[in-house]
Amino acid sequence: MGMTAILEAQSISFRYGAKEILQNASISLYRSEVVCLLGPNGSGKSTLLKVLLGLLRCHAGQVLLDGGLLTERPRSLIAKRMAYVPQLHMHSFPYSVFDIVLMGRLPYRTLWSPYSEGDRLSAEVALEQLRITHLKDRPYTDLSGGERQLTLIARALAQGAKVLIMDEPVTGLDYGNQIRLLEQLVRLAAEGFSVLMSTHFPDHALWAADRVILLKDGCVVEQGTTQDVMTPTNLEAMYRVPVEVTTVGGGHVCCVPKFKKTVSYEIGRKSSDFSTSQ
Amino acid sequence: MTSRTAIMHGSGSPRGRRWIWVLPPLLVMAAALSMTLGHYAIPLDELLTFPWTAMFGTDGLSDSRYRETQVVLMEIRLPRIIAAMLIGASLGASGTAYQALFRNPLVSPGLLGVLAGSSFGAALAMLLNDHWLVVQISAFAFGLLAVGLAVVIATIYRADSLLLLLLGGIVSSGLFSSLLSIVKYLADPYNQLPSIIFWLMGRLSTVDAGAVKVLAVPMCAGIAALILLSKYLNVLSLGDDEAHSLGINPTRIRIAVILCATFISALTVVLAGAIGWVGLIIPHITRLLVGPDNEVVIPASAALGALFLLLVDDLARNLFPVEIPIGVVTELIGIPVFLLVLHRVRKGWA
Repeated sequence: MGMTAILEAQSISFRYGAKEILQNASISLYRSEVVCLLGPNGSGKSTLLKVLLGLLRCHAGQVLLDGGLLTERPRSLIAKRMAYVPQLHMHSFPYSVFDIVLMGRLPYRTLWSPYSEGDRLSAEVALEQLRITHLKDRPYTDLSGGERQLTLIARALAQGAKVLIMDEPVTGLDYGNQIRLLEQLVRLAAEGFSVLMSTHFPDHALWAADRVILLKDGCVVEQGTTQDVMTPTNLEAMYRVPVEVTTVGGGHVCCVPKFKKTVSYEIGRKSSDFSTSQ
Repeated sequence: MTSRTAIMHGSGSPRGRRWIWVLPPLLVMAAALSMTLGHYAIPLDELLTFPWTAMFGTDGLSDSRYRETQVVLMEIRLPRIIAAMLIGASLGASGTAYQALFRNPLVSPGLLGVLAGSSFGAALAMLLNDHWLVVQISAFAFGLLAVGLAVVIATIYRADSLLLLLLGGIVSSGLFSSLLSIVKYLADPYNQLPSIIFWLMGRLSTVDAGAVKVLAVPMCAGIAALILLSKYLNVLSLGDDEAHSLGINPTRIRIAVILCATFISALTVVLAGAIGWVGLIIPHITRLLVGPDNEVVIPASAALGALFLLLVDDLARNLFPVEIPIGVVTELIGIPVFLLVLHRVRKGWA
């Protein structure tokens, strides 16, 4: 890439007890890009993200943030650079969307300083940036999955973080919200943010990612541009199902499984028309 | 749903914040009202002239009337009123803190065993040595010890698990409750047992002005510390990973909150015995009024707790010719209120 990585994992290993979760995994994240982390269940995606965030300590290797060792940085400094957008939220009190976004300002506060007007302003700006100002006073617990994800991303922006680490952000969202969320992430990357997200949908990597990392059994098996990595061979090896990666009308790319049942209808034609024509 | 949405507004809306400013003047008014209430009648105008007479010694009240009023107001009612407010505020704030900490709206300050421990400590002291100071120190010490035990149990099995902390609290509460039973069984049934039982009911009638003076400072400090920690409580109730990623050390915050909440809850027992339900219902009512943001809820629940206990104490000492222990009254009022609140809890996290 020719430039230095913002976030870098250098041959990290991690284990729970005797079980190896990550082995010698090296990845890097650069400015202004969306990187998708793909891997089957139990491949260590969440663990990798947690190690990168400093939530878990790797047993070997190291994580570098802005070229410096992550473990040597105070938590509040890490929080100002890198934000975590969790997948599922624990059931909690019905904080308003604004309260949740305002939490992003915590790294800037000490025990003695309450939130300032500037903090409130940052939260407002973040809401505006994601175009969810209308949700401001809504209880977070009443939101749809898509709105919750946007709220958490707004919090990451209020945090002032340039690196967003997201654990399966689209899981649980309906189709429309998935697409809208991905588009938001692409937009943020264009504005200079770096997004690393894990996902179970190859299509999402094809549509949104600049680069893709494939993780299997705790090892990084492939890492590179979307075009290079998202080949049928790689995907078949990872998920053990035959797939096809094809370009459809308008230059859009998608990944299609070679499903055992083949369809016998034509798109755009109602089944009633179909039966009468027979 | 819409009405709930309207009530559940947090700090983002001015609605929640406006409420909180009503509380201090309301509290002062309630305190003044409570000064006039009692078997020795002191009308409001006498109450208002009293400070004048006290400061300048001239006109207003007659000498004998002044002396009587002085004893009733300054030595009997004021300490009691202050004690009621301190205890209500401490229980309200620590209840809110515990509920946020355990991410559960149904826990109370007694969760980790502080009330059971303090009750045992007081009863034990009454059995062995009836001096009030010893009873108070023992109540405080065993309160802290019980919570310490809960924390140790949780740590032995696995550090930092909320569920284990909760189970540790159940074990510790159970242990000290059974020890209390032993003390009751051993106590002399004619003298010691009645005083132990009255003490356990929670009462403000025997509040001692000296103790109030000494304990007011640490209790206020404990509440202030919880207010300072309140902005971290929101994040803590979302989970440890999020707290970490927002630059906070959840374990450290949790320890600080447990220390402060335990400290002030134990002091309430020292002052007036075990007063139940306040720490459970006040946080609920407060959240209904000001929304769930702990930065607002902690101070508001302290103020509301103070107001609540003050008014309940007015009832306890004026409703019947014979005073009812305040712990009994809070329980009688607390249960129906809790049932009402439970209806909301079922729907969301009131």
